[in-house]
Amino acid sequence: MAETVLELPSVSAPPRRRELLFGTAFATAGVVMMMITLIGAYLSARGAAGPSWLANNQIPLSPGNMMMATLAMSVVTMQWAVWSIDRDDRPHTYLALGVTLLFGAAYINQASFLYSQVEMTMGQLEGALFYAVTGGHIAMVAAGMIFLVLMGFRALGGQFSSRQPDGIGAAAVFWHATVATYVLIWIAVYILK
Amino acid sequence: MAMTETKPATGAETDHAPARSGPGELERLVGTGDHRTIGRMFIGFSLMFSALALIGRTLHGVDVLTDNGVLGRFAAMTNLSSLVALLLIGAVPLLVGIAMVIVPLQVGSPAIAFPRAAALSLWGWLLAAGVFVTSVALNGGIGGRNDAATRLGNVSTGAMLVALGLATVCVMTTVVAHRPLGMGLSKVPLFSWSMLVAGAIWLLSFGSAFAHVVVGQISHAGAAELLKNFDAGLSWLVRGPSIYMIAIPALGIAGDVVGRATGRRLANYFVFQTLIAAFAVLSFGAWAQTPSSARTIVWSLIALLIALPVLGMLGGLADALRHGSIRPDAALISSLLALLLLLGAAACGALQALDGAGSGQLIGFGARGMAVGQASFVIGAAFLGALAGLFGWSPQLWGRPSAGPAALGAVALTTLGYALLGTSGLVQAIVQIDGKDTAEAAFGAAAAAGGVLAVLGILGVISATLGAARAGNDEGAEELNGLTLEWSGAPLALDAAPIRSPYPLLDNAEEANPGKENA
Repeated sequence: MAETVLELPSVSAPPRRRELLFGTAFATAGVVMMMITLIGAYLSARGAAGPSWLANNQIPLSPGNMMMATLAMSVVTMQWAVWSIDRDDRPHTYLALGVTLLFGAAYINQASFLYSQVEMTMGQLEGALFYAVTGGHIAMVAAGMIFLVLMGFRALGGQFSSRQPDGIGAAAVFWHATVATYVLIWIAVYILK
Repeated sequence: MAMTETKPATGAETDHAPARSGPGELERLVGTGDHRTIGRMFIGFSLMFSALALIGRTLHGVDVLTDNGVLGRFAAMTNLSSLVALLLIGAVPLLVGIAMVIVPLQVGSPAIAFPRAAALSLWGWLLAAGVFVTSVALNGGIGGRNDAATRLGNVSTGAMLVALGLATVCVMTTVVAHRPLGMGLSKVPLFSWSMLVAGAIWLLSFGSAFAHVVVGQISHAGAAELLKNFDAGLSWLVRGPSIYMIAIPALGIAGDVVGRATGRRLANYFVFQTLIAAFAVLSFGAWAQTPSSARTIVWSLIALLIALPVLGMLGGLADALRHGSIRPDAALISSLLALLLLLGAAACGALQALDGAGSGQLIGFGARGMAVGQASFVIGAAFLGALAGLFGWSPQLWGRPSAGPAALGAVALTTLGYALLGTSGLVQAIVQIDGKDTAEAAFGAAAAAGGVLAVLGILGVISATLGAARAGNDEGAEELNGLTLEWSGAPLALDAAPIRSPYPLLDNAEEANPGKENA
């Protein structure tokens, strides 16, 4: 039998630990700052407009409250995913990510219902800022869901484990920031109106 | 035949195998994730766009000189658009480009974090910058009169903010996550440190500015409304204190250039890091978006305090330069001149603070001239800092050192140009008290002359860097004699010894020659 020489395939440098976590945190800071500025602009315009603000529209409180409750629950499930991947509990990781995605989809559904109730047009004084703030947040939730799906697939492919949980952690950082931003919107737009 | 052996290819198979051609030059360029290539393209394109923006400043000066005889109805648009262009298609991408090449090398990393995102930021920025220039040509940009073109200018401004933000994320993540064993943040080279703190401020400021771009876009605003949107929501980017944020990396570059020039460690390294961080914190201006914020005590305090980190850096670097034999070169001179220009900007800010003391205006300085003067000083400082980086790290960027006389000439012209632009704005503000237009034509002439000098300076830089790039790699090999990892000529090995100080190469040299310690 011929002598065989087995060589390990050449590998590139191992992935940098926490790279994705830091990158996501930095990008999230920029996105959150954008949302805070939008909320600030909304409050400033509302203060300048006085009683005429939202004189022709009603923003019902119930959908906003339900959206808050939905996102609050998603914080728990998101952290459940982080907890599970840290313990190599893959089934629960996938389950937690799936439930979080479901909450995200429910939020978007409730937001679209809210839009249909408010019936605000872009030409109104409040229109641009209302849709910039709430639409910006819907985009943030959608981006978070895409992030979750991508990280979920990578976890499914075996890229994340208790030794390398960064992807799920990074998605959690963005998700938690998204929910924290919604708390501000909930107070500024839906409660204070 | 053993199972592990590869079946030998037969002649017939090789004859019929389809010929596979590798990617062409253009494909490699577009698809590259190499931080050096991406950084070089950032640098090259930003230099070209900077020349265009400076031509805009020059034309505006000539227009003022001739009492609106050149630009006509394009005057306001040229003034605002060229100022924003100097920021977003000039100084910031130039510094980002240098950081893309140098920061990974400084932390001993073979690559930048998220190389595909870095490439996306380059192409996104380049496309947006091209669209912005096109919109300016169509009387849009910022302050133009064509509705569609101004919307194009607004969108491209937003796209540039996003692209530069993305590039910043890549650079910051490289600093934080790619550091080798032992290199805590307190041992990161000063340029990388400055990019980390600058990046934090840039991300927050760009994010905030992008919000106003979104509002302007979704409200379907016309040209007039978009100009109002710019004044209310974006003009703070080119005012104090926010304008200072683009010059943060200049402080880090100055620290590294002086360290290398002296061949010694900077004493009290932590103090230098603190000064850079303090300058960055003071340059955060997203809280001061409304014009009325300039009349608050916080704004006045910041305007006065921001000179302190610059003075501290100058003092510390001057102390370092007193020791050892110094060979003044373009990088060293440029980095120190950048700090002096920052002091000019701080003088503008101090006068604004003085003017705003109490209720109303104490003296009534011309606000427009003061703001333009301050912005010109800071942008000049950022450019000079970048030139110090370009010339100081020329072997890493282009393969060999830049030609000394050409580099010195470029630094001299750039300094004169921006100093003239800044000084004319400052003097104009002092002379034209209470809205008078005293000697308006003379200030226009000074601004035009400053613009011309700065354009010539940029052309000199392009010429010097092209010369270095064409000369190739070999001749500069002997110049790799710095103190930090980018001068080692290769990424740090995975099994390298832990880093013990901000100057690992100096540590190695001292270890090899124990009698020659110079710290």
